[in-house]
Amino acid sequence: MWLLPLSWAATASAQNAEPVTKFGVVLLQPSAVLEERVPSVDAMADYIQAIEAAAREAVLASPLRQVAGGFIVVAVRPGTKSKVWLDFDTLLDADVSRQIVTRTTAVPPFEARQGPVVFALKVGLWGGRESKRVAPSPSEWRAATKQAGRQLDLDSMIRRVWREPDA
Amino acid sequence: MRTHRARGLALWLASGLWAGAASAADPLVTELEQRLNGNGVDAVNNYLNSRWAAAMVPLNRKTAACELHAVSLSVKLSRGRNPRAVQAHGEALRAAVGNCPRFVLAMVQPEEVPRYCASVASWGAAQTARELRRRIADIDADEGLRAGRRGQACRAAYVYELEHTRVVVKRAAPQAGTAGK
Repeated sequence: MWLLPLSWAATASAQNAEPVTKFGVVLLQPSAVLEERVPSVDAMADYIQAIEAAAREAVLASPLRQVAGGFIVVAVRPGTKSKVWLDFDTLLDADVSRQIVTRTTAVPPFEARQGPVVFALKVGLWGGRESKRVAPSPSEWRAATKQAGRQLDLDSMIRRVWREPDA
Repeated sequence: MRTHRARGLALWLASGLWAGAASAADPLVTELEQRLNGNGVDAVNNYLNSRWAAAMVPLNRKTAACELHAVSLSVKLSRGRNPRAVQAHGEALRAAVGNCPRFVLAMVQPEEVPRYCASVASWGAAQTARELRRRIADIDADEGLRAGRRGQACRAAYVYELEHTRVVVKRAAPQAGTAGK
């Protein structure tokens, strides 16, 4: 009986909410590594904003207003190559996921040097709550760790999950 | 043995501890990030409040100098409830916006922009006017900032403060020996 008002409230809240709320940017590498690999902090900052804008467009493009919180995880490799993974607290609709990955991957990345630069946007979709998790762990990363049978450092992780020959 | 290992690995993955292991190399920022992950924003701000000179001041300095992890951490901590700590993080971020505007603006939420695009409390009136003009000119000269929503909001906040801050320049009283010359 009380489920109906609850579901109505969630829908109403989603209708009034922003498509994407960015709670923060999680830098997944030490400062020394970032300084070495990011020649232009400005370019990286612009890229972060462009990723946020692309995610917003992607969420707006889907007719479904799914309330969710989680991470958009991005890796940029030398040669202006990027890859995006999603890690949300609830199972995200397949179309929304595809839209976000496609549109954010299409954003031209900044130039990284000497190795990948990895970060995550902590976001809420349509008023979704901020994930309580500190850092992301996309399912592909978990699978790669399981396959390796040991804890992987981030560079090894990215090499394993990229699934593309090195440039 | 194997089960323990698998469970440990699963826990490590689930908790995102690998990210903790790869966090800021700076010991202070790393310690604060770990405290934040374990105890939340208000606990870290209380801790910083109780260790002002040893922890808050250096963190503020790193943030103002645009150390990336420090900026990211200060943005999160500035959303806490401890007014003294929130004020200190805000001051550091306002200083940082003058040095690395694009990065700070990329870290914050759009509605937070006016809070950080403002003068620093320690500036005098003349310095405030001078610095606000410099920052507005920097935005005008930077196409990326000028065209972006956050850059525009930041510029508008500076202009508003500049127009609503009265800078009084007093003429120095003439000295007795020079009067009437």
